Amino acid sequence: MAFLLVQFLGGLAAGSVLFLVASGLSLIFGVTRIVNFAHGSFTMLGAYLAWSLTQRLGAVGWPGGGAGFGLAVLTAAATVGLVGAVMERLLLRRLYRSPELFSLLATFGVVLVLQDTTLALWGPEDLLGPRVPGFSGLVTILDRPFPVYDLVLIALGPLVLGLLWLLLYRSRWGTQVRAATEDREMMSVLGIDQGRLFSGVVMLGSALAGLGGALEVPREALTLHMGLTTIVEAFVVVVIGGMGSIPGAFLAALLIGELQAFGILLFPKITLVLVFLVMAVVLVVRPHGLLGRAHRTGHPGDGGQMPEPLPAAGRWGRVLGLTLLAALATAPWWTGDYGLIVLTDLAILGLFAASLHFLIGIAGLVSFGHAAYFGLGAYGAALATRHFALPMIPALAAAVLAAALGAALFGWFCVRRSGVYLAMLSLACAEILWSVAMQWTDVTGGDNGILGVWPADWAASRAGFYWLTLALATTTILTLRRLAFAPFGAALRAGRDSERRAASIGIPVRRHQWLGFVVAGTAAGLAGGLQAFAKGSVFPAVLGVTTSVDGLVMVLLGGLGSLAGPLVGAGAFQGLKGEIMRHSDLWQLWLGLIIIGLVLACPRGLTGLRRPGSPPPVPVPPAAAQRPNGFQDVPPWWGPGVTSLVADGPLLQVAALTKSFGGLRAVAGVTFHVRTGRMTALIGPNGAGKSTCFNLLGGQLRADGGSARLDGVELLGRTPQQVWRQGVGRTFQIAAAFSSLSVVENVQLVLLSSRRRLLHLWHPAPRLYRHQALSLLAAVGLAEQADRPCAALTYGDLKRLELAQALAHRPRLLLLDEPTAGMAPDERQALMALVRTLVDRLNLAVLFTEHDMDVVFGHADQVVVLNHGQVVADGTPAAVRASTRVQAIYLGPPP
Amino acid sequence: MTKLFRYLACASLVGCLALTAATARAAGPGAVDPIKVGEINSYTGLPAFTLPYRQGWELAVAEINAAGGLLGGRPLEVVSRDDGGRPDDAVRVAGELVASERVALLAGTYFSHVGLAVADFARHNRIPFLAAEPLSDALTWSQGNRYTFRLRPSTYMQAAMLVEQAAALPAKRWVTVAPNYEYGQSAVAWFKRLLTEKRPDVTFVGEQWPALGRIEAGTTVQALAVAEPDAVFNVTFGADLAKLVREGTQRGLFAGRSVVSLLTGEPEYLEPLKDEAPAGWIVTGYPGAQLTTPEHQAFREAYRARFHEEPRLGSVVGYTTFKAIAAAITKAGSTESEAVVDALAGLTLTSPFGPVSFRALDHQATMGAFVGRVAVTDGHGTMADWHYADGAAYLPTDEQVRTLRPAAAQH
Repeated sequence: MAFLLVQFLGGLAAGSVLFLVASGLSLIFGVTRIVNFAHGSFTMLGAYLAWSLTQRLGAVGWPGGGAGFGLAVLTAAATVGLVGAVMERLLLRRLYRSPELFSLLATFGVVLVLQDTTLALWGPEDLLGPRVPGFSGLVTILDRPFPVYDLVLIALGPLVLGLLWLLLYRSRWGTQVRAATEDREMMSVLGIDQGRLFSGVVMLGSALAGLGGALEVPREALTLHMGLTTIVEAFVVVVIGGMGSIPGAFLAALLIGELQAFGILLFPKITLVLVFLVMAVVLVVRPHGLLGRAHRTGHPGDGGQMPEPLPAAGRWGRVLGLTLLAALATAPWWTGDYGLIVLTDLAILGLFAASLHFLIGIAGLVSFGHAAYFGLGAYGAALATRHFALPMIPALAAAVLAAALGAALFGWFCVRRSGVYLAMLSLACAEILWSVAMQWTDVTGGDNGILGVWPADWAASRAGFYWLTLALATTTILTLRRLAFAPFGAALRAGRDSERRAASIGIPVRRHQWLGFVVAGTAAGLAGGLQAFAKGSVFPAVLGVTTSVDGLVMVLLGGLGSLAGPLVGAGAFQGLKGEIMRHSDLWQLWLGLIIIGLVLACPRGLTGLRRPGSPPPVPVPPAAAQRPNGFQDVPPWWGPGVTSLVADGPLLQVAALTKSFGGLRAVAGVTFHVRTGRMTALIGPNGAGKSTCFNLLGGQLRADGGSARLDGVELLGRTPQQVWRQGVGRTFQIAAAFSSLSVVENVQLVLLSSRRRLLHLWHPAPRLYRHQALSLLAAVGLAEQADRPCAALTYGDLKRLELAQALAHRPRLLLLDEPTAGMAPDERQALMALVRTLVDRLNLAVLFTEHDMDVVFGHADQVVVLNHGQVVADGTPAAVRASTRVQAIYLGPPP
Repeated sequence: MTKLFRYLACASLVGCLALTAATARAAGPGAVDPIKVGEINSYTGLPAFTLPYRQGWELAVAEINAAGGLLGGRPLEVVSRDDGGRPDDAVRVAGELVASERVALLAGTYFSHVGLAVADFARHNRIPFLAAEPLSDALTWSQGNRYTFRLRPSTYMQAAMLVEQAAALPAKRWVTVAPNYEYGQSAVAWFKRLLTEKRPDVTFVGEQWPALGRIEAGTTVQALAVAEPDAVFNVTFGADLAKLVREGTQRGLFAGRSVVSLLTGEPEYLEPLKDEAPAGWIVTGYPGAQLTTPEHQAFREAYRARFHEEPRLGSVVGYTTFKAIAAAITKAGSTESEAVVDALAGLTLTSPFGPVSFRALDHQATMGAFVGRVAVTDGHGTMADWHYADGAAYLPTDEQVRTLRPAAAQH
């Protein structure tokens, strides 16, 4: 019993220190959305600084017992805070506008620089700090000795938590920090100076990291590996607790501390993987960690920049690519053996990076654990060779199969999370595999790996294996490229651009992402298999964090926006690293500085340099109002459409529809009908429940009760895809498009989805149904803009594009959420006239919400008025206009 | 502003590449054709251990060349590379050294897995490889091959040296603590097996397997203490060892108990502990300045004169490795791979620790280690009551070794 208590206290002490470090990381992420990879290095720096200071102050003779130590700790923490502020000022501040992941790359550069700086300043030897005078003794707890210093640490955790709470909830600065955490847009509204706030937060967070490191000095040996160990642990804590949540970090830190304290008693051999297993379980059960809330996190589209259309290789791109390929294919005649080794490595890494880019750049799934599939491939090949004595080609097939199965299993869980949580779940998967490889000595050889995996005789020569690698890598990369442009890839990109919108045009986003995950994992597996044969041996390191991080660095260095990016990145990273390693012991410093320089110089990666910042100017089309409605008649290719079974009854019957959010009844028993060939307006003041109604009908929200029958078929309880398949097209209140597709491709994608060809893998999506999409664009007056990027459209044109997309599926019912919001008055009239034409010609039913009463009463055949979630009036425009209740709602009670 | 940065970055990139090209060209062939040896080690991964090692071989190479080089005046040239602690990088640079630098043989490595990766590369490419520091038994036994030799005493040998001491202790209840990877696992396995062979009355009542570099020392010490052992066998090293010693000493784990510990007497591990070095532990290591044999005196004087510091164990290993390479090339009379391999098998030379030979049977050198107790003098950990345990005496019988080693690798 006493033993368990002491063990528990030991866990608390470890958890306390972990909390200090993790709270800083959480704070920085919560406000700046920067994944600060250098946080662990700051902890290391804090520890080394405190060590030096205690040496100095120790010579003075420890004034007042622990006071000297306390002074050293605080000075170290403050210094690290300043270093953090400098990093923010010089580096991070320039990156807030860049894709979020770029800060990760930049801070990775800082890690490398700090690593070698620490080595240069303090030397390579492990340092053991002095014990703290006055706190070096033991207390006896139930007859068991326990260090006094650990009690101090246990007290410090809650103390810092309390101080942080006071700072965040009882100061003006804290209010600003919380506002920025909750909603970034709020900051500008509140007039907060973003630069100063961010500097302050990064400084505070870094100081906490330094504090955690400094406090470890009396109980830890200081090593140059502290940084990486700490950052991984801190990430785990922050993710389990919930990104941005300080109390969550506290809870998670204690959990991890106790887990390790008791884990070594129960499972002494698997303490490391235990932590990752717990993280995986927590993330599967609670998507945002224990106390976290949903953030828009880690999405490549965040950070102020929308993804741009994927550039296809132009003529010069093709010429360049073919020339390069020809040069590579003839390499054995113009380079020596070593050149071939380097090129073989490059081909493998290029393939690995390309597969990761497919995941991040195309599918929008940011994985921190892509090494898992690379490693599965490597181990698959090695095990097939050594244990089953398979020849090389079948062994490579085994590699691909192993990776595909692994990706299918892990991917199923991973795609159900987003942002940083997805990243960390994927990392957990890789770490679990790593420890299996490390511990299952009988099969994997453990740390000593599997040796003797050399290529078959026919590919044994350097040139032979090089050609094999080049051929396989090139084929796979070209296939990935093909997939990215095929409907499969277009749908993946659409799911990344906007998941909600993609679901509303019938794309099964999760399933599609899962397939994308498997594709990327499979390609990585081939790279891993080739790596095994290239090196002749496989070790757990292939599954390690560094492999994943290297992959990320290559992809980001090259740039996410282009398919050539990962190849350029792999070449640059590997070339630089190899060359610098050959010539300098301080290669980490140089590599870090070069990475930082590149991030600052080309924040969109090396391939981003080539492209101008904004799309080239296109002649401005005539104002929308002057454009003729291109709509003539039902296009012949459109087919007969679905004829209503209920010949004369209403198409949509909504009855007693109910939805509550918490205690608020947003929609309280709404009943109305929508008829074919008519335009029905759903109006009401702000908060009346209009958009909620729309989202219930569209499947975006789940209703609490009631029914909504479309032609006799119940819509409630269906997913957005299913609702869409029933013939319901919709537009959203805030118009947007899939920004990585051009205008016409946006419509083509809906046509592809409508005809169930999203899994089409071969033909480029831009060539399929182009003619049909163009005629739809012509119908809404967008023909001239067909090939422009969506970012170039005016808001009104975006609304038209949405309408074209909704029409592409030949819907029976159109849900238009504020179709004319944000348009000029004459544009509004033109658009509504267009809708009227469509209704008449296509025999559609339209349900729309609208704030502009001129539009409502000028175009609707029927008006339903909502207030406080209930229908207060339902009838012809004239009848509704005359209703005193409606007048009371809009104009206030009569005098 | 961004433009400026862009230019700066491009300029630095170009500058870097230009520098590379320039240095690459500068390293052209000299007047006399040197004998090139490729050297690979984890210089950035483990600088505390590999830097003394590098100074050791630098001294050896300087002495060899000062004495007129090899094979009638050809200087020995070492092309040294960092493997960053990663086996795949090690194999890549091995390929570079062989293909591009045309080295006659490979040497070095610290980590066992890196050593094994290079050993397999050596087998595949038929190039001699003298592994300097890796301890894994697999290197000479289960994964042994014709082209690979190892200098340092293996895990088995060091464990056997300590078992001899442990068996003489009255302790019956033992606990073990070891890092959770192949080195720790096989050290504990051999220790248990060899000790129970000698002392059937001992029992192992607990074991802890902290992850390498991530020990939670306080809780681990508690967990060891709760088993109420008579003695502790420790395999942790480096930062883990420092924390274990501090927490264990503070919480009284070691009071009244014997501790037997692998490698702890090596200055690399003992020095950082300073006055907290665990006095009384029975360890393998290297007593440094106390060793007054003429071979060692000469080495130590030369080392101190050149680097102005005391040699560490790594220095001896680095020095002896390159002396062995020189001796093998001299014996072979050429730098041809098969000849060098044949020369290395059975090669005998004088190391700072005395005579050492590379067994033809399994390519393991008989270099030994010093066994003694840790003592603290003047605030520094040292070894006391030590003696030299010659490696040849701590190896299994030849029959046993033959069963351990693949048939293809045996002479």
